[in-house]
Amino acid sequence: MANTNQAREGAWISAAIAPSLILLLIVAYLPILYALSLAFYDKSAFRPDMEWVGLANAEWLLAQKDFWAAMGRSVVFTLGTVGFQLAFGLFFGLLLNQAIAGRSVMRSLVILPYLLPTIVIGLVFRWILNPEFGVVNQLLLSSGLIDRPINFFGGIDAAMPSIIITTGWQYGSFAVLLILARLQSINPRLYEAARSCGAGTWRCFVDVTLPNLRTTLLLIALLRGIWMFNKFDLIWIITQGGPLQATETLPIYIYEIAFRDFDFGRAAAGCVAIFIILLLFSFIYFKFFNPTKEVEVNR
Amino acid sequence: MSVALKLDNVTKTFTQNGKTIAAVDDLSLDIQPGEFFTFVGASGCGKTTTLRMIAGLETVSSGKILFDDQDVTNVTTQKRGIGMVFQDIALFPFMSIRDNIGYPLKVAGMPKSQIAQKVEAAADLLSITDKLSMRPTQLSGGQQQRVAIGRAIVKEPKILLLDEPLSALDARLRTEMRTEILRLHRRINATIVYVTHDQVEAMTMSSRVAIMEAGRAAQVDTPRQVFRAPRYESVATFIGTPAMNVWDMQVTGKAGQPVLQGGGMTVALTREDAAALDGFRWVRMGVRPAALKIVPQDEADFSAVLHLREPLGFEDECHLETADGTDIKLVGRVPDTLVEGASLHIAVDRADYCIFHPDTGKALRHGLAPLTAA
Repeated sequence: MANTNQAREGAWISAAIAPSLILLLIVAYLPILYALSLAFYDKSAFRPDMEWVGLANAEWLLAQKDFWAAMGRSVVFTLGTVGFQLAFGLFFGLLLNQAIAGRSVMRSLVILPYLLPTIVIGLVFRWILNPEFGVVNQLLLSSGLIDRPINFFGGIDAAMPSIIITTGWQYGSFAVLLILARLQSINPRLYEAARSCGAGTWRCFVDVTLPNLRTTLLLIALLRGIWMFNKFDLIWIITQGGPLQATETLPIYIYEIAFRDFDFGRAAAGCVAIFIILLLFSFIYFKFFNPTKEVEVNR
Repeated sequence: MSVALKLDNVTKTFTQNGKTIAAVDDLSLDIQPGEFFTFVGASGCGKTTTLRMIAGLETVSSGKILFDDQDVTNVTTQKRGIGMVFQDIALFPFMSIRDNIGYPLKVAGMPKSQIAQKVEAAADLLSITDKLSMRPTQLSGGQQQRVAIGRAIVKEPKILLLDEPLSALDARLRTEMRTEILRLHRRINATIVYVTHDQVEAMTMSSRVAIMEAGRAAQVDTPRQVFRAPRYESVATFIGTPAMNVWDMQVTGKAGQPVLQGGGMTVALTREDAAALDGFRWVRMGVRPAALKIVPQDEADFSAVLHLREPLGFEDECHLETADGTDIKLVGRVPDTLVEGASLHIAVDRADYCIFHPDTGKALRHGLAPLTAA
């Protein structure tokens, strides 16, 4: 009896979730599988047919100097933006957790960059950092800090740091929100206990704040790491990978194979490469940091 | 000998909705070295605020706090050299028990070998030696509180502050830990300042208690003295379980021979009490449940109906209703034959009752003075 009941219940559950499962399959998993399978075909945008080539696309890709250069830039970009966001989040999270004047207004304002469309941010920063009309260069020049305007997005050396700061600024508020939420859930008694043990401000930070933030910081690093490694839109809007490939990260590189060379097979092989890298990254993360602890609040 | 802890006109005010409220109002008292001093009172009476000011976790609005005659009013918590145990225990969740207990020593920069030694000693004192490598979450509430105490005493502070340390524990554990803390107090050389809302804890543990009411100390005395000679009706009814019975009594009788009348009884006053009550028309009379006795009719002050009896084991707690409908309580050894609904004759122990001012509640007379029935 119990078994039939359970079986019937199981059937009901399956029937109930089937529609959304099927939908998910059609709109999410099938395209992914199609994209992955493309990596093993010679597929041009101009030919309807496709030809099985096995690992030839992968071999070609791995032999490209540009591929490895783009990979290096992606790593720099990811580390840079994630690091920037963590620092940004930590600084403003800690600041907004203090009893400072105008805190609630500041808390609302800090989320603003996150709400702006990427295209707006891209265009605005191109203006702000413009070597001829940009306000940043104006300020730096008039204050005497520099003699000549800096070509932030156009200079080979300045482009990558400028892109990193712009992207980090856009997504930093996400880190602020998570860190602030976690800070507010720390039992204030822990700080009082630490102080009664003789701990000053710095020790309180090291022994109470940081251990409590550890999982949150790791979570931000993982989520943002994945997003930043895949980041395409803002870079494309501002520099399109230039000047001279200075900001050509893996997604930009793959985009160019797909829509400049129109070679979908090789582009798909590039996607598979990103996929594998992120899979590896996540695996290491879940292996070494207990993910169930991410959401656990220790008091 | 110097005073271990001195509160000198200490006041703490908060502003709420534009109004200024005094959480602690001009409190002055001296605590001697080695004392077990308890602040007890209902929530909102200012006892915890007082403790937090002693700890330096709250600033003082006016007045001074002195440790060993040294003004520490503006010294930060971490430099006051206190040990503190919190109501919600507040162990560091990411540290082992060993690191939790050793934390004050690590902060003080003590060498590791020495820390290990002291942690072992503290753990031994609190019988948690086998828990040292565990995490706080792996321990029961009672064990966690022991660890918190260990963390507070490991540095051998001169002043140990305990903020309702037992209220998070269940009843049985609470009794156990009470004994434990007392034993600890005998073994370590520290002045303990203890805060609780539980008058049983206050009565059983302290060398002296301060009964806090609305930011003031209504009475500062030994537990025995507070119980026998309460200075206010509020103190008298707060201390003791079940609470003291209180009646409105009229002061009547012939001139030179006044009596108290009310609650269906008449109580003659001694010459001294009569003098104390001169000019009063009404007073409040308080009698502890244990100072009421079941007696033969001819010795009775009044009679009452037994409504409910709650066996406490050795004695019973009896809920009675007097002729004028007042509910009172009596605690004592009651014959098993008495059933609910029975009519009883009750006498007031002449050696043990209080008379309070009808408006201010100030005690005009309290127990242990001879009195005769009318």
